[in-house]
Amino acid sequence: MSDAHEPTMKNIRLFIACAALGLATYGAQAQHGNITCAPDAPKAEWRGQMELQKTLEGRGWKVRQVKTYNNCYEVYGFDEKGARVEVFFHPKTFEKVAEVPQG
Amino acid sequence: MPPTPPTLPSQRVKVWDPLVRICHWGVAAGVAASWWTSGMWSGQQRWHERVGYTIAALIAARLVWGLVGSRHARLTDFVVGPRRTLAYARRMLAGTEERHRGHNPLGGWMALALWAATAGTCLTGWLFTTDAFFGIEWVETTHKTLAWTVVFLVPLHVAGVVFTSLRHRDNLVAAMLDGRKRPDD
Repeated sequence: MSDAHEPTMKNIRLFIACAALGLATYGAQAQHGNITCAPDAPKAEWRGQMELQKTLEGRGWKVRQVKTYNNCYEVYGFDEKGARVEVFFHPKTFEKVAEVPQG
Repeated sequence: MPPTPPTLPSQRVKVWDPLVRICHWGVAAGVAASWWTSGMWSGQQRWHERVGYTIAALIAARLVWGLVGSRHARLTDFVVGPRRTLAYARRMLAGTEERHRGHNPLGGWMALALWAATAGTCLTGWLFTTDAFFGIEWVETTHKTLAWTVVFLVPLHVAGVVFTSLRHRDNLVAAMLDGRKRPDD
């Protein structure tokens, strides 16, 4: 009986090893899903999206879209040089927290 | 009468040519890689784009091959109208459906649906990298909806593969790997 089940157990162990390796790799990645800006600030204290847009436009940006992502403001647009940018901002300080490099 | 001997590997006939198989597994791997590199997971934007263009090229090649390729690669070999597809589905529910060497009618429509949703995901993804459509919300929403459509279709596709394999004692996964199937009964 044990002979017949041996390969199955081997496969299960191999599968678990692969899954663990996959999860470890996954955990080591810098993820959008992990981007966090103001986890402790209540939303009531956030400055408005329009205010961020106006601030960026004051710097010469063209803003296409502002939305909330996790606890960040995510902005799609063009910076003062006209380059496409996708940037995550702190919703209270408007500090740049992360940027997605554009291809 | 003696029982029918099992089909020897050498007796299996060629069904899927190399381009069909490379495109199939290439797109399958690409879909997995595009999820991994997407903003939801690792967010490797540059790799996400490269993977997307690779998938688009594979589907384009496969569609051209669908016009000029080998017998079972051709769209005319497996794309049948709604009436015949429904009739096949009814036979399938009754357990009397015939075995197809290439795609069966439902499998053919699944292939078309997967290609359409995947190609649409590639197109809207590319649009998002152009100045005209970058940051536009509907482009992003459409990209995500189509990507989720692929995610919805893949388990149905796999279920169809498993079901058909069991019904006709084929191993369709192996057939897509080595390109061969048991000859017609």
